[in-house]
Amino acid sequence: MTSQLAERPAALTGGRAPARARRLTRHRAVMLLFIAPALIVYVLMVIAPSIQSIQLSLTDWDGINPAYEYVGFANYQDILSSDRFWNATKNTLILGLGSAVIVNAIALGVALLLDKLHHAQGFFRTIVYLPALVSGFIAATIWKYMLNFNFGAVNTILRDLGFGDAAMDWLGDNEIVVGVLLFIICFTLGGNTTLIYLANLQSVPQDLVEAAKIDGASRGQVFRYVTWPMLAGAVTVNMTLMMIAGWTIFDQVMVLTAGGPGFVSETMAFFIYKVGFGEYRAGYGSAAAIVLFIVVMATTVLANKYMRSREVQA
Amino acid sequence: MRNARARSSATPARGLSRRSLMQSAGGLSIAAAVPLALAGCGTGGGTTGGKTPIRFLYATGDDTWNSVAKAVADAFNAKSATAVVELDPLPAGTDYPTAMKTMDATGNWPALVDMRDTLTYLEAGKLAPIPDSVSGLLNDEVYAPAEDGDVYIVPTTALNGELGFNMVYDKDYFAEHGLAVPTTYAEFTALLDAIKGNGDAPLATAAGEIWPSDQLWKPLAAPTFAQYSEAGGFWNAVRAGDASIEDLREPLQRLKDITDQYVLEGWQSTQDAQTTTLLVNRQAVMSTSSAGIGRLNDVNKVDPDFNAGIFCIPADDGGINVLKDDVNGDSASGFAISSQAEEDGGKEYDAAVEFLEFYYSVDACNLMEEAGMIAPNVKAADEIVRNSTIPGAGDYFALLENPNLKFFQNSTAWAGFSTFHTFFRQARIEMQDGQTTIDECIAKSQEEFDNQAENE
Amino acid sequence: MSALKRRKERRRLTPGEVAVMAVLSVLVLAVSFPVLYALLNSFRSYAEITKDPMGLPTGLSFENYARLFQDTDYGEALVNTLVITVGTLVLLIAIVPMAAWGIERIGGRSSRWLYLLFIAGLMIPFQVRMIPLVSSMNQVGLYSTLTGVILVHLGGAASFGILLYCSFIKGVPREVEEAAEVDGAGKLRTFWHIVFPMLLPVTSAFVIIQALSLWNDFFIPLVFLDSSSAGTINVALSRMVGLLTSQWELIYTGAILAIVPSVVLFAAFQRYFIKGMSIGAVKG
Repeated sequence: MTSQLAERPAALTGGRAPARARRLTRHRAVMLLFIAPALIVYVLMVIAPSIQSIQLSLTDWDGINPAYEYVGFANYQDILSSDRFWNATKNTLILGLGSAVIVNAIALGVALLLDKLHHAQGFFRTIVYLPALVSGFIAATIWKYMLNFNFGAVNTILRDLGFGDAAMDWLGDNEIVVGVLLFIICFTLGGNTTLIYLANLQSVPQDLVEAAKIDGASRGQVFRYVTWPMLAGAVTVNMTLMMIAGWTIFDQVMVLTAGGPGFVSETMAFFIYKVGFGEYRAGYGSAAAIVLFIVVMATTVLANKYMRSREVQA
Repeated sequence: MRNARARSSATPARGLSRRSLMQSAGGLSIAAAVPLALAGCGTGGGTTGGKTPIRFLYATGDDTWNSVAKAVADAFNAKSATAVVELDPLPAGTDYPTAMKTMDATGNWPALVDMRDTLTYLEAGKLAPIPDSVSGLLNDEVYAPAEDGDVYIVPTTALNGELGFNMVYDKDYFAEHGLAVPTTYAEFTALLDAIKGNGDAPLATAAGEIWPSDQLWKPLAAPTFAQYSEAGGFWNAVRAGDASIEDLREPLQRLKDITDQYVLEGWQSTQDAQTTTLLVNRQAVMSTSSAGIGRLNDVNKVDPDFNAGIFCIPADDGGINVLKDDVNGDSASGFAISSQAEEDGGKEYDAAVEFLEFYYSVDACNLMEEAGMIAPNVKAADEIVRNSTIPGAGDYFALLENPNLKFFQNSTAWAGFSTFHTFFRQARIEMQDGQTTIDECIAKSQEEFDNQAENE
Repeated sequence: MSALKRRKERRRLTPGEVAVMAVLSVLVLAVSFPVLYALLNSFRSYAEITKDPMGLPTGLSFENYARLFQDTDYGEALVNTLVITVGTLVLLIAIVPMAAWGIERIGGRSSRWLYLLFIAGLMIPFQVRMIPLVSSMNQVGLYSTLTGVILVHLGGAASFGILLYCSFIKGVPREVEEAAEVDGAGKLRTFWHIVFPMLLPVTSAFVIIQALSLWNDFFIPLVFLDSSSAGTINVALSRMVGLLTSQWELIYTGAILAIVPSVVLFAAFQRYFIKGMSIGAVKG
């Protein structure tokens, strides 16, 4: 692409070399102007604060007092030796990876069902998307009340049906609370994820499927050897997007449990918010944020590498 | 509650405050005029019909305090020729300090603040001194100067310390089953056993938010804390190495035992205000509270027929140990005027002072009493008409006269304490919930304490 | 794209299809249950909800809705949310497609490096930049302003926008733009008159995805708007949860009101939505 671009203006001008170079420089300068507004906002809002975060993570800043001192890697030492942080990391992995896998499975299932429809597919595609319009925050807020131990709808139904023993303190029982969070996060039909799978399913060449069927392949075999490999790219995209979202799960935790009871359901994102803003430890919070960044980057790169290699083999 | 906000006459009918309109405008025109938006959003220090508007930020706790704030602000706005108070209620609990923190980050402090983590902000130079014209209205023992000799914080309500950390109970149930208010800790546990023996849940408490977990803990720990009152308080002793969190083992054990045996299930996710509902619905015979008469008032509003009473959990020797309010230090709370109010010629500061002078007037105190709150300890206390119509309020006043009542002090005059305090609450909930043992709870709390003390 | 076209001959409705339809309907109903439950309860009083959490409303009472607007700052929050969503979208469309085109056409190593710089943002969680952003916004006086929130959103959405537009622009032929340039049209005119119209499909996908996520966002306004602002609907609702702990009826009502605009928006642009999403999807 690069060489192409370099040659084209030359072909257009057909002039001498210096004019061509001047033209090229001017072209690039104009393009840079096009990029500039977005680049400035992006650097100011994303890159600069991220770098500043690294700096703050080496200080004992409380977030209020303008005076602070550099403490080296003390914050990182504290974090890595803190059970609380490791518990938050564990929850983040459970919720992030768990929701990525489960939501993708649901979305793929729904997309496969939709793909089977030859009538009213548009209508069903629309209603399947509807639940995705409800934000995680709103859904969690409603669930919080439905799951209330003493007055909530869920336990009331269970008790009325005679399953009083099954009524649980869904958001207060430390043994199940992370599972309940995972359930609520995954209580969806996928929305965008489903649409991406559906679009990819519909681009699977029908000839291939027909050919496989003629060769006597069962439905399962068609899926395993024809459809699934064709979806590999979509799986990579969807898993990556869901994992990035999963690592930073905050809304549901904030609304449903606020990290409790005790510390048991804190996630990394919640932990950073809590120590940075609630406990006056901006330096410490920044260090945790940097650790989160490393986790996100490492898992995204590794997962992509793994999934891309799968794509090639398939 | 938010409709109590005094809207200026210039405010459009759609319920938009002027500030937000300017913010909206700023948002839309950002590409063209960021500096304009800046001017629109930052200052907002205009006058409202010639009156200076000031914001009053406070933690919403119980309904009673919300209605007091509204009643007093309305009365003040009707009366004052120079100032208008706009209410700015924020949810209490662990989020209130967070909200204050973010408010601090705005550089846009309300003139009047219901203050928490006082020392942190005082040291950062965010508070303005409160003049004698205000503190002079109050009894001498309810305020105190900081190190520099100025007063920075004055009480919002009667400084009866943590006397409001009560058990609220169903008097009819007690009468029906021949139960009496306990006078020693042994009687208290016997009472819990008796209720349990009747097949009822003895106690509802809440840890859905983090702070209400103090409601059960503090009365249990009070006898231990009280022992260090003379020596400058328990936490200071821990800091000096003269005591340790290990010394709290007995109250922690009691906390654990009560939680395991007598507390209504679901406490981990129950919120403070919901214990009122649990009590009124008779799902529990008693509930914890930290609002004293305010809670009785709430109960009365939800169910006027409910016959509520209150008592304090007594110590082994029958003493009722109650933490006296700090009038200084990080745990002191009450009204503060922000130093930002002094800017721009100090108009907002003057308005805030005028409001506080009104707040401590007999008229305002009568409004507070009517709304169900006990008025602050003003010098003119004798002129206040006390409200004795709330069922159970007599119990509260009787507690004040109780010969076994002993106030103790436990000041925490360093800024890192609030960080530790939140941690300690969460660590206790974790222990009550059975996720950790008492040993582990003590060990990790001590470690956190040492960390925070070190960071000073 | 051609693969998208499938044989569309009339077929009979098979039992298998009916079963699939039934399964999908049940799934949708199950997943929508919390919302339906909140909707029903938004017409009931506190006493009714407490006594019988599973009861149906006895009538269509809008009292809770009226109370929500009278007693809380919900109306103001609604306007704030609208300003943030629309303001961010307009600015995104003003700067992102142009930048993506610039990145694709600048050529050389710069092209690749700029692209990577933007894409890196996808891996930087908001939490990483949150604390420094709060303090710098404060320094320049943009903290707790809608302007500040919009700027933070812009930075966050830029990466995804660049990813989406760049992958689309790769498939746009250069000949047309070059012809326009020969005609003497300036680059800016070439872009807005020739290139931008060709980007409409991806623009609709981008606008729709962003509109939903901006409208539904909770964390950024939570951190960047303080009590001097009524906040966005989600922030207002979260404050209400603290303020009205046991007033379920208002919480349910507020939740429903937060969903209504996105459903209306979706209903209005449903066609473009699905189409746009599919384009974005295949490209992605």
